[in-house]
Amino acid sequence: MGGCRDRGAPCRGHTAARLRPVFLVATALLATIARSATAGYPESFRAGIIAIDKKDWARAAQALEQAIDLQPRETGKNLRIYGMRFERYLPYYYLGLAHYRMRDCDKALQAFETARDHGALGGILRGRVEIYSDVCRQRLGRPLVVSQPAGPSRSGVSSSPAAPGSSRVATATSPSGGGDPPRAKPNPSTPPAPPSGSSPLNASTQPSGIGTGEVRQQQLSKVSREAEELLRRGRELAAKLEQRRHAGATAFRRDPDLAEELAAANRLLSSASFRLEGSRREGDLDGVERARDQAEAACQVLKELQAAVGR
Amino acid sequence: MRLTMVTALAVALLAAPAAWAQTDDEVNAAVQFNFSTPGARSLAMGGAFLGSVDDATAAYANPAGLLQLTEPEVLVEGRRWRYSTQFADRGRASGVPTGFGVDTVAGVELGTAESELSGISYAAFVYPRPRWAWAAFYHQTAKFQTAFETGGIFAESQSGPGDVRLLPIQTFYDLDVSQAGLAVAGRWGGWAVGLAVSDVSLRLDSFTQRYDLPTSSYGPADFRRGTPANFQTQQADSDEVGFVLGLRWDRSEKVSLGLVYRYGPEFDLAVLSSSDSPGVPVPPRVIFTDKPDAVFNLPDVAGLGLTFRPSQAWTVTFDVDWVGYSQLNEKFFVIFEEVDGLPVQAEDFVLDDATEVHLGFEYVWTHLRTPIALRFGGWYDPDHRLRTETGPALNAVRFFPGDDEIHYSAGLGWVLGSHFQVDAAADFSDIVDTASVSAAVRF
Repeated sequence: MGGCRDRGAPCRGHTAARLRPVFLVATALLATIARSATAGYPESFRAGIIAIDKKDWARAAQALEQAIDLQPRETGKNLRIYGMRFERYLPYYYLGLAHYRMRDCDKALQAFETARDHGALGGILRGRVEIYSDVCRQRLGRPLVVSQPAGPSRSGVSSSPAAPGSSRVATATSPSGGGDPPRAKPNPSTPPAPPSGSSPLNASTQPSGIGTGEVRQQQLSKVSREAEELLRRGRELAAKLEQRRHAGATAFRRDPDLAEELAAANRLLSSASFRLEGSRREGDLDGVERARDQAEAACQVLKELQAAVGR
Repeated sequence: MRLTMVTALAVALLAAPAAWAQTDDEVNAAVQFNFSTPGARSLAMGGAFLGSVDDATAAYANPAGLLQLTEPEVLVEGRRWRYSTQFADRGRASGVPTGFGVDTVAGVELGTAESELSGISYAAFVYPRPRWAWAAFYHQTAKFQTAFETGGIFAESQSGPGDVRLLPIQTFYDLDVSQAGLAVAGRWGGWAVGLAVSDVSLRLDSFTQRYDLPTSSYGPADFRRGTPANFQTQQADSDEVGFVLGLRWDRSEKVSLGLVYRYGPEFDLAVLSSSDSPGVPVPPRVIFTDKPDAVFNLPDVAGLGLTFRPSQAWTVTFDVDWVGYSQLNEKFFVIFEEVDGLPVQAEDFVLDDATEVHLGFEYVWTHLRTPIALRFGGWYDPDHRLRTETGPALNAVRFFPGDDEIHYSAGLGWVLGSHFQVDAAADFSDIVDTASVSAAVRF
């Protein structure tokens, strides 16, 4: 460096040396931005969700398949769609939904089945999957599958009264559990096994002798009341929609999917009602929560139907 | 020793230009407001939001951002502002204190007036369609109040021997700029383009009362017994059309760029300067100035923002905004044509444009069932006080420069369920503290 100054001319090497760290930092920054700007599974998933919002089902299916290629595991992790809107990474569920909306029931059922197998769906989404799967099976002419209710349905034949709008369908349960993942059979003589993460109480972690049973009973009563309320609301909504359907509402005539979803939601309400009754009798908190989630899913779908049909 | 009262006896006798802007009523020197973008989320990130604009605040901040929303959204924000307004209160600007009366302080002592305001600062409804989006919005663009009294500053006269003293004043200033409008966004090539058109409403009310000194020219200000010498008012209550033009380009979800231009319209402003007091008319009243068609020119804003999301959890935002504060000063109206026997020109008064630099960060705990966001940031707010650079020295006391400000901000956001969001933020600086809470619902 000193020699460079001694020559009395502008020292280009010295300037370049001084600027080298700046160039390095700038290059690293640009490289980071460029690398991070390439699309990963969150971007594909985001594109899929946005396409679903826009009812562009084909594009949604394409984007979600891309996301699955990049990250096949349905993690349920929150991913940003935009702003502070996050959706859980459930690409199979949304792929199933996109296929369902495109009336491609084979692919929809396959995607819903995979989503169930991954086990990341929450209770309400499981209920939705049951409704959409039920509609698809009806369309494909396959036996109807209703979630296996706890308790009274163990005989394999449901005594469920036909739900409004579903009288043409013989309701039966499926021992293979097509609507639900396999579940441990509750033993009436012992407390049911704590559900994996779905119950806020875990019996094995409660100190003995401080009213574990009471707490559990209180929780059971609380969730039961919630489920009953949801069932009541769901039945009201369903009855109103049935009235509109019988009155020949335009939306039902124009879109036969609506009637199919209404029937499936009714069947899910019936299933939830039976599950609630049986689970409550056996003190199965997991079953009661499952019934509540089913009822909530049915209510959500019925509200969407109500919005589509118009008040 | 001769002591001259500096009063508002010099009036606008000459033919006035077609339009005037601010006046040399010193309360205008104390006015402090800024044009930060709406929303608690934006406030927490140092107001750096032009590249993101991914919620309902886009309708005003950068309408091009509306295209990002795919679900209808309603957002309401409330803000609280605490202003600390500095003004030249008492003391001596030049020469040595005489020791008479209150002329005992060397140098000018500044006073600080505190004021607090709150209200709904933003509300919007966004309705996205597959290829375009529209929104209706309300925005409190500026809200400012101050009120103070001065003791009257001494100075050596520039025009002759002896001292001069500014008359003590009581003054208040109340400014409210709000707008309600419609915004629309669509796509043009690789760019999202947005336009908002709004009805901008200006309510301005200021009053300055000057008092003669009841006993001695060196005596203390006495607003109870002092005789009103003259007063000045500025009033506006009108509506004009403003617009916002925005562009947004996104390389991917991770990198986006926003450009915005906000046009601030001109408003009618009535300026009055008169002898005595409006409540205590002492005939014969002399109207020095009665100018009903002066102009208040709301500054334009142009901004550029860059947003970078290195991961799902982190967001870094950076904005550079130019605010045309000098537009407030383009057609300056001189009420006091002579101060301390020296002429006053409109060109003496200076108000600089400001180039603000905003930087913000957001970290979201995405693994939580209901994500929580921590945000922080800061921004550089160059001084934009009305000041004088030439003319009578006494005017430089009334209109003195302020300091560049650094604002520090922080806030939190909660996503409750899949449709509800609450954000809270605070922004601190020496001259204004702002607190904000906003709630958004998507359906």
